[in-house]
Amino acid sequence: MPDLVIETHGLIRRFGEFTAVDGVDIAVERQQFYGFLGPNGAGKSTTIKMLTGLLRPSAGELVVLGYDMSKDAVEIKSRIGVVPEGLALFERLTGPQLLDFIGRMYGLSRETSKQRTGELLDFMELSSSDDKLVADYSHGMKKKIALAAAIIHRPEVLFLDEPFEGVDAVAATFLKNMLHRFIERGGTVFLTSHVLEVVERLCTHIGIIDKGRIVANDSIANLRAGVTVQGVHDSPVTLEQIFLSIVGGGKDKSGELQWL
Amino acid sequence: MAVKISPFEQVRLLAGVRWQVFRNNLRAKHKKVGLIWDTLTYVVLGLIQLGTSFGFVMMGYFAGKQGKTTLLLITFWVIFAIWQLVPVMVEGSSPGLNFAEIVRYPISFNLYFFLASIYGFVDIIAIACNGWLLAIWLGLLTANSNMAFQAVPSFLLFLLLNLFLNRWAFAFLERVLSTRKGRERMLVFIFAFSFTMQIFGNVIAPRMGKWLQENKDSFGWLIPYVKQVLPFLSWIIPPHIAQHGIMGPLTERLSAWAILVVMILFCIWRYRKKLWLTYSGEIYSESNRASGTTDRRLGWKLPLVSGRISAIVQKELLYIKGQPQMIYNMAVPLFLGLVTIFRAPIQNQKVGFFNFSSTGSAGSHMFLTYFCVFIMSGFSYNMLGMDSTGYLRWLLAPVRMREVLIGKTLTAALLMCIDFVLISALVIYVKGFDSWGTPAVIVAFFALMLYMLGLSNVLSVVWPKKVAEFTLKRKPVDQKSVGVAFLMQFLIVGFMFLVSFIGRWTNRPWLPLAVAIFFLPLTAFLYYLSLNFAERRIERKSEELLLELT
Repeated sequence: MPDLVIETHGLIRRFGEFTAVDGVDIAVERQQFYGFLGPNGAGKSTTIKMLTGLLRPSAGELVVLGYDMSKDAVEIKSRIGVVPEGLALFERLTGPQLLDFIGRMYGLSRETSKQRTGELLDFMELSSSDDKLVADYSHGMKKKIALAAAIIHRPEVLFLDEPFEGVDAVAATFLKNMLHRFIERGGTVFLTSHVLEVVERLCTHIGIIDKGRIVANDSIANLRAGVTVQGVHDSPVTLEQIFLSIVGGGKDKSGELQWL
Repeated sequence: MAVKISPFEQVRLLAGVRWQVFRNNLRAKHKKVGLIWDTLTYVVLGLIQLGTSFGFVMMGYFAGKQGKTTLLLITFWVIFAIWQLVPVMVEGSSPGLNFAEIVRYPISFNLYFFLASIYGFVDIIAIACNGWLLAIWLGLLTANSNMAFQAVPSFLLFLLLNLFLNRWAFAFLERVLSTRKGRERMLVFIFAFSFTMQIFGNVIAPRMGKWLQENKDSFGWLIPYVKQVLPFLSWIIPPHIAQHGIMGPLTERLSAWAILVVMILFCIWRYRKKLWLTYSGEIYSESNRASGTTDRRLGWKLPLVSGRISAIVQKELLYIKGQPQMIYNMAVPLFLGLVTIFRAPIQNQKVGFFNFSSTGSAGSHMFLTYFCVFIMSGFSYNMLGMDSTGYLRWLLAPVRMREVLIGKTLTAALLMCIDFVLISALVIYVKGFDSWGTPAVIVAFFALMLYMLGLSNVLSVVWPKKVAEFTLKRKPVDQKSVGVAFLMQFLIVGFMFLVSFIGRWTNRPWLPLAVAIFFLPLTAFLYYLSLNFAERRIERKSEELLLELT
């Protein structure tokens, strides 16, 4: 029996007449690095909002770490870490103030919160900016502090919404190494990204959502085996090719924008 | 290849964009109350402009009738002070002047300079001042056409000087305000200036005037020096120079115009220099500021509340520490207390520098308490909006929104209590303890505080508003919340006044205390209900609130 940490059955979310997520089934096992992909407006953000307890599903079942989201949302929230879209930081605090505050919001003792704050700031190489408000951080620094805030309480699952967007190569490598270490120590990562090369290098499993429905959900190796791309015979198909073949984005637009 | 576009076309496009933005703003006010409120504001402002303009017409008319410029000098001073001070005070706290944004488009420096100068005319204060100048001139024209035509150069040069002096000040401000630290320092300066003026005008100046009058013989030796300096000053202060340029011999008028022209050119030169820096992208960046390590201290643990609520209170206080406007709101009731208590009627002054009446304390105590609660609860009407995108963090954390709201209102309550204790100590020390009144005010304070904080819980989730940064210009609270809170305050003050009046009229001094005691548990229950309501609404309208606040 696989150790499932995220499990959804027939997850639906409607906004009035519009159905943003339409019967999504996801199963993510412990220590998986799961990449959740989809074109803009496919329902990625709505799904991740439901998985992290920000949005109630209109219908369906949602179980995280064995707890039912409709009954035990607070318990789930205390066991997961989230780097949401927009980062959701209290920007008028300094880095140490923010981390210490978030640690205590997750129920850490004052001593533990202070100790982990120091360690995380040193690890993320943010210690030299202790007296700076988060509002004055660069984009990469904000991503790092958001990640630190997501892991300070030692979560079992990490939900990362576009963690590499706007991050330079040095910071991105740093984040990737950290996430691998997290997986090695028993953690699970659920990640959304538009940078398919990054997802391909990091993730072991992929779920693709399009128009609110899951259109692919498997390990990268299995997805590669199941996809044939026109013109590609010997070299292995890339995730980008898999993605385009599944969501149908390969339309030839060479005849457009002639003035450019 | 980009198509070359003429400066005229660029100006037309910019004007078009401004108009489109204005229309879109009107359309965005889908909730009619906001639109009605804005319309009312514009109508009231228009009426004020009309009324004051009529006053200026009359001043101009009488100046023309008398054939003297003394009245005109007064009007010039009023316009000069308002045009130079008010926009700077208001913009001085705004997060940068958006006009600098157009630098990114392909426009020449000369066109940028021209547009930035023109922009000075569309400021609401500049429009008012131009209207007043026109009103004065029309009044002058009606009474004395010769004088009016003779005054045209002076009026025009005075107008241009005001415009470019103001633009120069703004160009300077633009650079100061380009950093968050600069904006905060400016806000602190404005508040400190405003307080100092209040205290000086109400407390120190009357006493100083009296003291100077009593000791005028000691200063007689200064008068000849002052008489020598004054005529010189009148040739370097713009309103006086403009006055010189209206009547008198031709040489005096020509000299005045020449000085005004030199001043305008000087302002243009300085203004262009500052503007050139902005045009060249020389705006400071906060992220380049040097930084260092600080002592990391253990978080707070407050008595009687959980560690989470202690952390929320600590976070809220850290936020308030960095918000000059919040500190200002906290200081206002205290300053008002000082001014109210120490502002003695000068003519009855009999003892010391700070003498005060010792009539009953309950009235002023109650007035200051109302003021303290109403002013300080103002920011709580939108307590989730202050967190901006951080609001999402509350939802992600394993914490009930009820705890967040309690933490936030507890912070507001702590601050109110500090203010109330200081105000009460001041009033009781100066005016004495009122055996029935003082306890009534103390109980009423707690009832009032609970009531207003309960109302804040409700307003914060019904009309939330994202507040990225504090400014004097941008309101930190939705205007509908302000309207509802004002109505509630009006009803409470009316009710309490009625109770006090009945108590006094029927000779039952205990009545206000009895009513306050009756209402205290009721307001506590209302606060509890407000928590339930807010929590349910956050859950039900989660998507709407997220959209509005993050």
